[in-house]
Amino acid sequence: MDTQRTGQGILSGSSLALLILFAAGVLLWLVLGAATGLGETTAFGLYVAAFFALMAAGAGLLIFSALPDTLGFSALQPLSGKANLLALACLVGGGLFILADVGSPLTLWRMLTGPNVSSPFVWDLLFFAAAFVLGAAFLPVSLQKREAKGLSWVLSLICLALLVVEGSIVATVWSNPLFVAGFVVTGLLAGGALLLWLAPTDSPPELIRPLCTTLASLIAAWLFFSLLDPLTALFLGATEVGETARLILAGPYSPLFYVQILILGVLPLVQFARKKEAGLTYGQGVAAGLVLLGVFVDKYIVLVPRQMNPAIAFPSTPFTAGPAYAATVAEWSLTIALLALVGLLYTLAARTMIREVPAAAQLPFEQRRVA
Amino acid sequence: MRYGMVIDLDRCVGCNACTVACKAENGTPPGIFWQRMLLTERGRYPFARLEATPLPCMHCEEAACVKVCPTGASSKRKDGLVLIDADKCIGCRYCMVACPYGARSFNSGARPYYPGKGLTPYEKVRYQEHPAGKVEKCTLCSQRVDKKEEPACVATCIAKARFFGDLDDPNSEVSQLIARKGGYQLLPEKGTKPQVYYVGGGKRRWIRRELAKASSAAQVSLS
Ligand code: SF4
Ligand code: SF4
Repeated sequence: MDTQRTGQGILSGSSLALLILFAAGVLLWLVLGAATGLGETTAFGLYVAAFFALMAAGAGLLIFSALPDTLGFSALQPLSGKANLLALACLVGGGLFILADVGSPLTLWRMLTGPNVSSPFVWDLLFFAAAFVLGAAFLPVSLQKREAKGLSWVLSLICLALLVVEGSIVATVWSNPLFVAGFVVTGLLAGGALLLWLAPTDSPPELIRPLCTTLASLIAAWLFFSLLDPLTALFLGATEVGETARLILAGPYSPLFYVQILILGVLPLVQFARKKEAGLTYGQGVAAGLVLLGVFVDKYIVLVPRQMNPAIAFPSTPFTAGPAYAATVAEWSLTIALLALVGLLYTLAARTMIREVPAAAQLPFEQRRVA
Repeated sequence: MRYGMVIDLDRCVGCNACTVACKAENGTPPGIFWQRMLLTERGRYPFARLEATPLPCMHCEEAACVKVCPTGASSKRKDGLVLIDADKCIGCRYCMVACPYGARSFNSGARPYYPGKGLTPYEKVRYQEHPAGKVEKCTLCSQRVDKKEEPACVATCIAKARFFGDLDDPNSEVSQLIARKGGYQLLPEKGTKPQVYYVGGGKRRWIRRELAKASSAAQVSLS
């Protein structure tokens, strides 16, 4: 959670820590052989999972950042600029993960210069670029707390489309259209959780309460989509889908499923659903952290071949009873480095572009509370 | 002109001559099979038997691989052959995920057939046709088709179980076989409209499940 009490000194200290983490991660990655994604035997590895997680967070944050204009949620106005900045940092990080995955700028160039418009990958890139450009255009609006209804609606719809396209890519892999809804929900969840982290500790209940209620509803929706499919499939009997459902619920990898249900579902849901009179609490901050971790885990286990579903035989990896892929130390070090870079970009940009005003004073006059 | 193939499962003896002929013709590295053989044990002892289903690329009319390929490296020729332009392929493997038949393989680098002995002169020459970091698959022997020859698997099949020809010509051997013996495609529900038809074999309905379980090249090949 951001706080006025942290002050500029700690902010520069955290920037330094993030810079060291980034440099150390990149160095370790280089020493360990600079692994890229497409050169590996298994496609859709950790880099792609991190890309999808950052895209979810970026798109979700931009949708939240535009909410004061789109749905008139004015209590969110003071956080709109910060959300916009962090979203842009997430999108930059996502772009770097794609570069790490494809391995060389030339490969990326091929993808950009000879696009096949029927490919969802190309649509993903197009919506990603559009979200970034529109997000950047929205930045002065959100920082200066101006009104731009048209732009905010277009930005929100493009971000929604980005989440839908990414969900449809995964839906092809799993032959399950529910993933589209799941991606939209996890995008909004990641955005909402990051927003809670951006909120000052002395944020008024007018901001925190609706945010927590929104997060609780989104988690309930995520639980619904996650449980609906395996539970209904169970009734399909001795079919391939039914067998898959049983493997998810009671197979060798079911602990992963239940851990995910716990960290992205039950635990934060309990926290966010509790009635609170006060502003932002420590518990809510932790719950937001669990949500973020849960979204990352969600992307990892739906993307990484058979981490979750041993019944899905992925190409290029022989069918075995165990997971076909485990991210290497090199991949983890670059992932941590790039996530640190996202944090670093945000802290540096926030330091130069955002002027801190006490949280209560940022609310519209009629919503301010007498302390 | 729409090239296609018919495989008669009542005639196929599962000898894998087609698999080996494909390897010889196309010089594929170890672990990469453009023509695979799905071997499935059916029934219970003492009536158990092994059923063989040859699986080439289906050269689908509505090829899922072509639709999803971001660079246009996978494309369909006018004569129906689905081919990959290795220069354009970035190795993203989205096509492999999209293909319901597991027909594609990723070439992660030249591996020798004799581990520890390095590449043989033959391998050094042939592997130039198989660049690392790219996806590859059956081409229906486009190099032979362009010379008006049959694909190597068809020419080799000892049981005369494979037939090749123009599906658009109602008088071609393949069209006649499909009409006469009730030709069917694998996984028609995927909407890919395969150009490889099967006849006989009791319309292997179980194949959907087996394909989902064993779509990797290693699983369904000679291994
Ligand atoms: S079988 Fe697979 S690789 Fe071959 S054309 Fe059809 S979708 Fe493409
Ligand atoms: S791996 Fe190559 S052929 Fe397959 S989708 Fe990617 S670029 Fe296209």
